[in-house]
Amino acid sequence: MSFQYQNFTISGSRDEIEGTSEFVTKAKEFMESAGWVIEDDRRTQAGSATDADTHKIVMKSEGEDDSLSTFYLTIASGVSSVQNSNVVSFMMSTGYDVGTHDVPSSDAKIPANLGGSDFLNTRTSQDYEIWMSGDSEGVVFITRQSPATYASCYIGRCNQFTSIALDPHPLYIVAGNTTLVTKSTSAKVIAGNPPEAAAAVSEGESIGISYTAADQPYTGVHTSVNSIFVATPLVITMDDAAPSIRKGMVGTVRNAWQAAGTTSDMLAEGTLTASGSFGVQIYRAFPVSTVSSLIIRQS
Amino acid sequence: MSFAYREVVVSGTRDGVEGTSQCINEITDVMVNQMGWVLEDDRRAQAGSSNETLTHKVVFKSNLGESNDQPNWYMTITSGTGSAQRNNFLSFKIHSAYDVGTHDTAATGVETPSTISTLTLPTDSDGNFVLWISGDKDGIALVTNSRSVYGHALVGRSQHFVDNSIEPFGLYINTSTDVNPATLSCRSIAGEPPQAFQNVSEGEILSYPFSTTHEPRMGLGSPEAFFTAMPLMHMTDDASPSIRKGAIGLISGAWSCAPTGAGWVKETVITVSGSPDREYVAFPTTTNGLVIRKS
Repeated sequence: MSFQYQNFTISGSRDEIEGTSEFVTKAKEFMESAGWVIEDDRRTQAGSATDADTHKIVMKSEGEDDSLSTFYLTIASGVSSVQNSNVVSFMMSTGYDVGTHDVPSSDAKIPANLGGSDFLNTRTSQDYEIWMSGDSEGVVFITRQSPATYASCYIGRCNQFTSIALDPHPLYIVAGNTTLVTKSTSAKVIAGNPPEAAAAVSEGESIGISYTAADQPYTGVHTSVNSIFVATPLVITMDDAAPSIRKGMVGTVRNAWQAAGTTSDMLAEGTLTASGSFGVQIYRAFPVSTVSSLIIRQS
Repeated sequence: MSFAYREVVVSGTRDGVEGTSQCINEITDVMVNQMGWVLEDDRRAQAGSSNETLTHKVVFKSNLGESNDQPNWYMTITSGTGSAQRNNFLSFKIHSAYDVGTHDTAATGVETPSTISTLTLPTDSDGNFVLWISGDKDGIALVTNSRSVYGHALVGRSQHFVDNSIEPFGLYINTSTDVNPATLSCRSIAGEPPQAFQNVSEGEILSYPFSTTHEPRMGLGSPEAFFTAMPLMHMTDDASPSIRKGAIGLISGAWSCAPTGAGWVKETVITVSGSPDREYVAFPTTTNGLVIRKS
């Protein structure tokens, strides 16, 4: 399929569906439009402490290229037994058994359980805004619960540095449940052959160049063109040290980049235009007060 | 012309020419006869002088760059600094114009650094030292190793993020007595009309912060010992007397890689498979290591 982008506001009051469950439904519709396939629809379930029984959807990716390995993304409403609890939880796995509604023990998954550290804040009954951007290999979800309170998560299959023989499943989850996350020392990663899961914090990273307000944006150099910002790829790496060393660069994140922060005068939620050999694309910036900020593709 | 690479041992003893002058001879040969730069002013017959227009030096013109449609710019390399010819180092300067009649930067041009002694690359007058030369008409990377002491110079035109009407030059120049290409003290010529960024606080070369915890690939099935080299970002960040800042582009022909502690073999050759196959030479340090193209 192809790239998709959506921005909308949902609320239990407006849509008569509890807000977090509505996020799950909207994510299913968005991902299907981007080429994902619904593998297991468990939205009629109540919340449960058991991953196999809880309120969730499981989406299957066959990638933008037919030669790529299939992988699965689970999106659950709430955490463990608490359905509709103002968060959605994420899990990625190299396999999924729709009969048992669970990840087979032979497959790698990140994190180890739904409701670990990889979740995104939502709202149950009040309005909140959502951005979804991505394709059939990688998606970005951003929520805004109040004018200055964001949460974000980028999930997918890396633009990998090695061949698919070495990394058949170069997967990542990077979540900032109350922040707009860019660089992170707590990325969850699946890499290697056979696939290895770095499912705990400290076992993976999302790395970016450090910009400062001193070097962004392009100002005062040209007499008529100012306010040009630069955005660069985020690199996913595994850096697990114990009980045995598992490390190495995996690839770059899809559909999300790192740019300068608000201190460099980026507009909050501004749109940026990029032109190049790919044509003209529009990106949406979500600046924060630190030195780095998240950029997602809009068109 | 095209990309060229040379690795050579230089010594006054072996070549019958003082080492620092011979280093200039080697660089001149590669840049002019293999890369395609124009030798705009050959002043190698001069003795050393504290007057830059009179001293022992060569001045190269970029000859329209690799795309053959770029504005020409100039690079001066002198033996020693000031009056001290053959002083165990080379000195560098870049400028947007040059007057071969006066042997000086033309009045319409800008230059950096302001004095030729600011940016230096260690050499050796009479002992053996190794010189690596890599690059093309858009930029060169030089590395020296004299008695286990490394130095490097990166001089070139950034691979721009913006078009030529905004950045006709976008030049960078930096030298260091190590092989860490990342720096907070890069000099530049950038903008339109071109402006010189003369001081150490006015430019940066930024890198991805890889560490020994990330590199090399290990424990994820075979093969292992893969390393990753990433592009270097050329930035300007001048704050005073007026703000002049922004990302200019990527460094041409040089990359950064993991530090020595990650298990690099010093001065190892690494192979990159792609289209076409290429070889690179890595020079690791305790922080970011320099990678230059070999073939």
